[in-house]
Amino acid sequence: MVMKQTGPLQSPSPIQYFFQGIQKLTMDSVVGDLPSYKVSVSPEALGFQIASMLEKDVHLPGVIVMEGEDIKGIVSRERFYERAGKLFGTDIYFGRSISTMLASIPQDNLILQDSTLITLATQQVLNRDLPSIYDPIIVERSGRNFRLLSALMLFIAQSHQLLELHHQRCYTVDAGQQFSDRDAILQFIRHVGIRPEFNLNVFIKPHAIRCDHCHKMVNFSVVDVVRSFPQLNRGVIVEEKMGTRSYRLYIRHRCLHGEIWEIPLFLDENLQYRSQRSARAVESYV
Amino acid sequence: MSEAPNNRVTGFVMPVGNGAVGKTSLALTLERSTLPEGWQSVIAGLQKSQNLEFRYVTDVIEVMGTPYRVMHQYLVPPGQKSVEITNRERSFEDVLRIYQSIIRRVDVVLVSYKITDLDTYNDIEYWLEKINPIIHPKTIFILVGTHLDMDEQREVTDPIIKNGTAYASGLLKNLQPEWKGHVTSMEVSNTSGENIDRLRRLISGAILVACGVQVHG
Repeated sequence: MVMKQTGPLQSPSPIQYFFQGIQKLTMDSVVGDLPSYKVSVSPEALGFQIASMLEKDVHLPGVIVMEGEDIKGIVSRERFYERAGKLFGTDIYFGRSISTMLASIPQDNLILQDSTLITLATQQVLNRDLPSIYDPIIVERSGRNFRLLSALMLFIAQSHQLLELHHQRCYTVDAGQQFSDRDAILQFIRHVGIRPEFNLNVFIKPHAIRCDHCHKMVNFSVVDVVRSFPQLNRGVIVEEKMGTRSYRLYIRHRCLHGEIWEIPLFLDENLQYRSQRSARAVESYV
Repeated sequence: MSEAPNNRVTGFVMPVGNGAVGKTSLALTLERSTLPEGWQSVIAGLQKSQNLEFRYVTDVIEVMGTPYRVMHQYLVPPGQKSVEITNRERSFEDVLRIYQSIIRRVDVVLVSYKITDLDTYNDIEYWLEKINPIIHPKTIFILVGTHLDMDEQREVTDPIIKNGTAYASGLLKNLQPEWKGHVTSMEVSNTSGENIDRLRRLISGAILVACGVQVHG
């Protein structure tokens, strides 16, 4: 019998790790960024051994049954206890090889590349038959390296993304996230990597530009812009072109009918106003 | 009537740059600038196509006491990048692919941008890379800022141009180590005609240099 189990790649405590790192997830995150288990057993592994593995790690979503390099199927935690919990279930399955249980479980396995976007992966998971929706997903890394990912992790990750998306669409320069100017400046500096001798006053210097849609003046400073973007790379773009650095900032404000519109603004390398473009509606994730 | 100079040089000039920066207008304005007063309207109006457009300008300049008749042959490609094309229009790359075998050489490249639109200036990098396969080691590059009559809406400032000129020169040397040409800059207005005569003379001089005529000063 061959049994291989290692914890998630990044940490021995997947849930703890996952919730610590969840803030780093972006709309571009992929399933490879989520904690998954390298856990495979041979078809000869006995039922009680699988039970012991599942008991030892309460977050283990199941096991991949593999014969050599071929995937025979998945026995998820739920399916295992569902079968074992039936009358005479432990007698039937604990002393026999896992292939016995595997034969009784309909297989609708989903194998995804680790580069699959979380959003696309969630769609594929939800496209499965209803009874299989919560089954774990096999994530393939390079070189037929298969790992098991809990569908719950995927759903939590997407839920976080949707929340971020919501935040992305509701902050403006006059009603942004709640953090200090100092933290905003640090975030900006980390994001754009400007030199230390930079005059920090430019970050809090007030600017006023006119929105060509609602024709109102919009007042803001660079720190206000930082506070209006939970994902700063969406709101502050650094451009190094033709030997000159410049910054593009998107100034989000409440425009006509309470809609959020953004005004693209160009600043020179010293963060001084250079020009602006026509305002546009924030309709989708940009 | 003065005698036509015996020294005749023909140079191929290609304006490149984003769409609607004024490449075709520039060639047209340069062509009109050589005509006597009252004859400008003889030149047909603005013609835009998705093809390589041709225009001709004849200029006479004197270099170290020697007069030269310099023929500018303008080859004006479209300003649409291949990534911007969504229908059956031809992009710059398409046109270059079609005509590359018959374009003998490009002596002067007019890298055009609008002084009122920083994006068109920042895209110069793109055009330098795309034009690189058809230049020769002596090709002269002139960064031509158009819309000088809209100076109050200027986005491209002098320091940006100064940095950009040096940067473009370095980029071209990286792209083609044997390139020994020059990069210079000028701003013009196709509407008011400001600096058009200066640009024409600059192009004539550049053609002479690119064609190997000894020009000093």
